Amino acid sequence: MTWQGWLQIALFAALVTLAVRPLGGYIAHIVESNGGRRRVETAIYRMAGIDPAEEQNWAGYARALLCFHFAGILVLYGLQRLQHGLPWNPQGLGPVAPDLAINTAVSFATNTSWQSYAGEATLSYFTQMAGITVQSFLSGATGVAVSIALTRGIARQSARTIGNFWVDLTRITLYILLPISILAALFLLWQGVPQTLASYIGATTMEGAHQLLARGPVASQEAIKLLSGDGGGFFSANSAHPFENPNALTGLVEILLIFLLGAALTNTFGRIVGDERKGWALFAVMATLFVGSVAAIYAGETASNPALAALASDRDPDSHGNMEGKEVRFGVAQSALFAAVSTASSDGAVNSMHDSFMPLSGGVLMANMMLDEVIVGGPGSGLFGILLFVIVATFMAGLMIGRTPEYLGKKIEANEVKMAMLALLCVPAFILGPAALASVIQEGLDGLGNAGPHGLAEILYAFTSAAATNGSAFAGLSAASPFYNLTLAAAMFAGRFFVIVPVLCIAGTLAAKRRVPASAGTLPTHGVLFVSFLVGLILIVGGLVFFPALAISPLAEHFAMLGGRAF
Amino acid sequence: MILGDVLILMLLAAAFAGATLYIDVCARMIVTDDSSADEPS
Repeated sequence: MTWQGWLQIALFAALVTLAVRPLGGYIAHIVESNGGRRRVETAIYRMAGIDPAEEQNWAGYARALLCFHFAGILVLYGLQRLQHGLPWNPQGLGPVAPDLAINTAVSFATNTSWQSYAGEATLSYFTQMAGITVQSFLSGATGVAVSIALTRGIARQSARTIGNFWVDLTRITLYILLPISILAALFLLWQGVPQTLASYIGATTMEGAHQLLARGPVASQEAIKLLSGDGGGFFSANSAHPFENPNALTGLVEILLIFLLGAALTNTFGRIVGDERKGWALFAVMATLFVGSVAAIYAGETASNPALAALASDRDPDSHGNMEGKEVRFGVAQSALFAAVSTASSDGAVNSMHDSFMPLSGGVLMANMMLDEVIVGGPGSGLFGILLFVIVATFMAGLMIGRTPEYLGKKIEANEVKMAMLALLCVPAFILGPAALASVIQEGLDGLGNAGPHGLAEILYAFTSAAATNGSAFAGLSAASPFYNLTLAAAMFAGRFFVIVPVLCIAGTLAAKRRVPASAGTLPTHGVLFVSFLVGLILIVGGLVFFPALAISPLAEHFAMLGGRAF
Repeated sequence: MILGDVLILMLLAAAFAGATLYIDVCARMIVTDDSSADEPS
């Protein structure tokens, strides 16, 4: 490890922390302002026949959300199947196969962005712009909307409604996602990311070979891919491709964009519930888990592979650790930081190949996702994910000290705990169940690129990434088969909507309750004690559920590697 | 390919029907045990 590497990590952490308060305040202003609608917003409501003053109860909010994404999946599926007859297809790409098309449609509508396809060889410009990019905006806005609905549920008293889904979706898209992504796209354009509708271009390499260089409307898609926590790359190599991420500066800005909304929403939460300290406590939990994660990955990648220690490159004092699968222009530190950010959030963009990480680092990447993406997480999904753990933590702390569990004056009772556990158990069920199936049937084993524990890690990573709506890939698994396309689509669908529904249900039950005034017996939920308790609970719950699976994949591979055996 | 599309769309419809049913199941779970809503402190 080098001081320059740590400086990069520290600079990133400082910039994220500095952005939390101003951006959190801006988001709170946008989602909670009742007046001051602008002309575009009003026109959208009028065209769609929406009464912005009419609020929904939790079930109405959930139904609106489901119907909206059902339509989104249908549209994206249709675009892929019919792209050969649609405009802006200069490469003449044909229709996408039905199983791959539904996998991709579900993937982007659920904010996962798992890609079983190579973007530049599969999707036309029109599909990328009207399908993929649009879903990146809308799925990101949905995540933020759900977290705001839950926040309102905690903040309101004796209320039957938690907001209006259509209003939240419109405002978040128009006033938060669009302006930031336009600025980010212009920055990326300035740094050399292409933005064109012209066809791919031929080039002659220095060896005299002919090469076709893919390009297209990359900058606009890249910006929202990062900001919305979507992560689906225009190119197959994602942010490792020089046209998506040309240099170290764009690398830094890309990871900032990934964390920006997820981190700022903790402050938005604090402002809406009327106590910013609660927001900072959640941010402290996220920061603690993130620092541990990035330190473990950076240390693991710097240590390199002992089996290669005899090679000259690794004896070199200037050697920078495990460089397999990493871009030289990013090096170990930024690759480790990018990987930690990508898996701690729900983004899933990559600037290096996670399959080539050391076994323990790969295990940490998986663990980041297995913790339900609460380490900042995706825009909104990180906040509602950590609030699910807060509910369980408050309930357990209440049991331990013999007090009625309360959070921000709301009694945490059977309804909230049942729904929180339903949401928290859904993700492990859709990771471990399909992964177990894939590891024993031929259709699953056919996709493996490696044998032994590394092969199991590839399967486990794929279903973890799908059910946790992350979307990054371990890269060793050939997942473009009907079996993987359909099972991963099911995992993504359940991992998103089967979590959101109980979250909205909790919002509804909490909104209906009155606030109990704080007393001497109230457990403080913004101090070091509660933060430590919450960190411990997240690690223990995540660890206990997934430890056996991790023990027989990355951990077993690590010890086999120390014994001189590679897979 | 048309048969593939029909099968996929049927699966999708079933998934959304399941998700809608899930909303109702969650609603019933809390309605049957809703003794604490709006309870005076």
